[in-house]
Amino acid sequence: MTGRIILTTCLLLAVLAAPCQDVSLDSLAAVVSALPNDTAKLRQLDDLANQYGAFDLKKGLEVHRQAYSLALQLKSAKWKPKFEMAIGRTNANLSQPDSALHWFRLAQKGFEDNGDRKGLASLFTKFRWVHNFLGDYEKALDYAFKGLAIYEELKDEPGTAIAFSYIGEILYSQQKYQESADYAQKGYDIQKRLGLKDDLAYSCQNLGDAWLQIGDYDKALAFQNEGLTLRRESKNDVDIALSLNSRGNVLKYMKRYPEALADYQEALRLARQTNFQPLVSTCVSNTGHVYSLLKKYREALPYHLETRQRLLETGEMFDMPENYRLLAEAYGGIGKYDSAYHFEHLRFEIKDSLLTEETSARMSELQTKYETAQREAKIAMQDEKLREQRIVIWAVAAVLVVALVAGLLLWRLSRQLRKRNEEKEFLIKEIHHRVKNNLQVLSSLLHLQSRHIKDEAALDAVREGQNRVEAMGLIHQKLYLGDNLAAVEMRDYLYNLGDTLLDSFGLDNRVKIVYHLQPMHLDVDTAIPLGLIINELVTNSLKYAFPDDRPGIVEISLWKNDTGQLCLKVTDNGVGKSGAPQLKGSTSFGTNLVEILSKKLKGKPEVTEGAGYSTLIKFENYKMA
Amino acid sequence: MQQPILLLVEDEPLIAQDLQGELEAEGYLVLVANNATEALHLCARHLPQLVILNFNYQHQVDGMALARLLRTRYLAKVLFITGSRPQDVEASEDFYAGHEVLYKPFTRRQLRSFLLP
Repeated sequence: MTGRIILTTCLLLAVLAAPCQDVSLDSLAAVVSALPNDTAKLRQLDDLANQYGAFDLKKGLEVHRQAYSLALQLKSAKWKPKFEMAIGRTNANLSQPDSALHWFRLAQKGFEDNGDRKGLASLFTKFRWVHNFLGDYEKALDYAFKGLAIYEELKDEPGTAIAFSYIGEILYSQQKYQESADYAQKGYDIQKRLGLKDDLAYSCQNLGDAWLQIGDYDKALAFQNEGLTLRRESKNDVDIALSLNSRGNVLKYMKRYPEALADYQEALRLARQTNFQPLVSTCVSNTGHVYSLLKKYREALPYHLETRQRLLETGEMFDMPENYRLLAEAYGGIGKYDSAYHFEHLRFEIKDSLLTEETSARMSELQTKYETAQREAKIAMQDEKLREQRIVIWAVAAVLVVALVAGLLLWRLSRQLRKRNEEKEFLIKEIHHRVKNNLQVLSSLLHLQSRHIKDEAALDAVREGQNRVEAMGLIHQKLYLGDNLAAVEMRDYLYNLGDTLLDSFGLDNRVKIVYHLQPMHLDVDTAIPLGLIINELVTNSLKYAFPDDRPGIVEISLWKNDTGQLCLKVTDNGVGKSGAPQLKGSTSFGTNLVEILSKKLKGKPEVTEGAGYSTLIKFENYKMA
Repeated sequence: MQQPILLLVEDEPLIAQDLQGELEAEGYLVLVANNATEALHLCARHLPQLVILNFNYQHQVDGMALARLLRTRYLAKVLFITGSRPQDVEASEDFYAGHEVLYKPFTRRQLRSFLLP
């Protein structure tokens, strides 16, 4: 699965890395369409766009736009606002706040329609970013607190933490550094506990920035180092650049200018490479500043001029006085006093409070509001907790009562069932007992009768009847002694049957029975007719094959052949059919019995005559146990 | 040589009569009891060498008490014949311990193989 994703990603990268900047939806769709389903396609594109975004915002935006088209095509209500938010975010990173706000508004509608609270919270923190960027701290703070409220409501700790960090960032912009540090610290603590590396790095940066302004450089440097280390691990160039710039700031304040310069320049390179214009501006400005501090005015000047250009382009008034001061200083440093005067003049012109008292007051108000609301929420929550505890106690009591009643009912039911079971068990015992006793009675009845018969032929017939009852009785004897109530172990049964027959004809010493038996357990429905058939065939041999004290052997073979038939062969080495006296008359019943019982098991007796007499029957219809 | 005495305890008259004839043909002096009380009386009077005791799960307590008495007091060899499956007799292994058991329906030959040599 992973291999497949990697392969697809490679293919997509190959498509996107083509010299033509414009990525056609068709070629992209062709590759993406190889994926199993629409959700997978959209997620794949989202991942890809994010991967691109980490080192090239414009390419990331391109892919997100394609993904958005696909989401529209597929009418995916779930993904549409996600991609709108992603496009807006990239617009924001590309310093296009108006586009960003436009996309964010579209996304807001989508998330609201979907009832996606988490998406909404995430979106609010992005609104916050844009308003912060635009210097509209009121709105920024509004959105940050809105996001925070949702995250707290959802009990989303990572979201809550990052919202704290965002508020810290706004406070930083408001130059309320200690409060900024406090909020960032709240976020930092949660993120550290949860091990959220990326968010933690962000909080580290905010904390470092705040502590730098408060004046604790060592603390600031420690936080920036921590953040930078984390960001280098996650390999996001934009983030690395941000951390480098922030650490450069600390180093600059610590007057470690060469180190600061190195950080700024690396940050600048990464910012340019990733098209992250706000950071490019910052880094350009900072690099120029450090050169100025080193009194390398000639090197500083191009950076100051670029900064000026950028400030004019973005209309950011905030940093202009400082830029003009640096330009004036640099021009003065290289002896261009007219230019120096020009910028000094401009500086005084625009230098006024860009941060009005009003905005500051609004922010404090909002902050107080939030904290009060939070306190009230806390009290309400404790009340709620108490109420919940009471409910829990009642619920537990109710459950106990229900469980008790259910237990009683179950106990009674199980007692009834046990009683019924015992009755059934008793009946089974009784039936087994009766069947066996009755068979024994039947056998005794025939024995008693035979004692009063004088006629030899009649006696013979009764004895044969006795043997048949015993052949069947033996099955019942063996049957109920095994574990499986319907299974008869054939070897044990046939040994007993053979011995019984030899005994009944008084042939123990003269005739031997040899067994060739495949080990098998047969179902009682097969075992009884089969036992009776064997009884008849062996009886036939014992009666007629060995006249005049002739010794001999009877062989009983039972096996399952390749075609799945159950084969029975009873062979004797006696005198054969021709030599046997009065075969037809007396045994016609036995032969008949074999025919009838064989029919039941779907078999046909095949008689072979050679040295003795042999019967082979192949049964189709039988049941193993 | 004195004829060996055999006590047959069987409550089914047909079986009792048949087995009596069969066992007499084997050379035993056969006494027949229909129940445990009769069996004890006959035992006390004749001291049989062998007791064939029909025992069923319904009369387990009687059967057990009788078997114990026969063995401890009269030192008789006991052959149980039973129509009950071993699983229907409580603690059947302990119950039958030291005695022969023949499960119904049995054949003549099986019965003879249990008799004294």
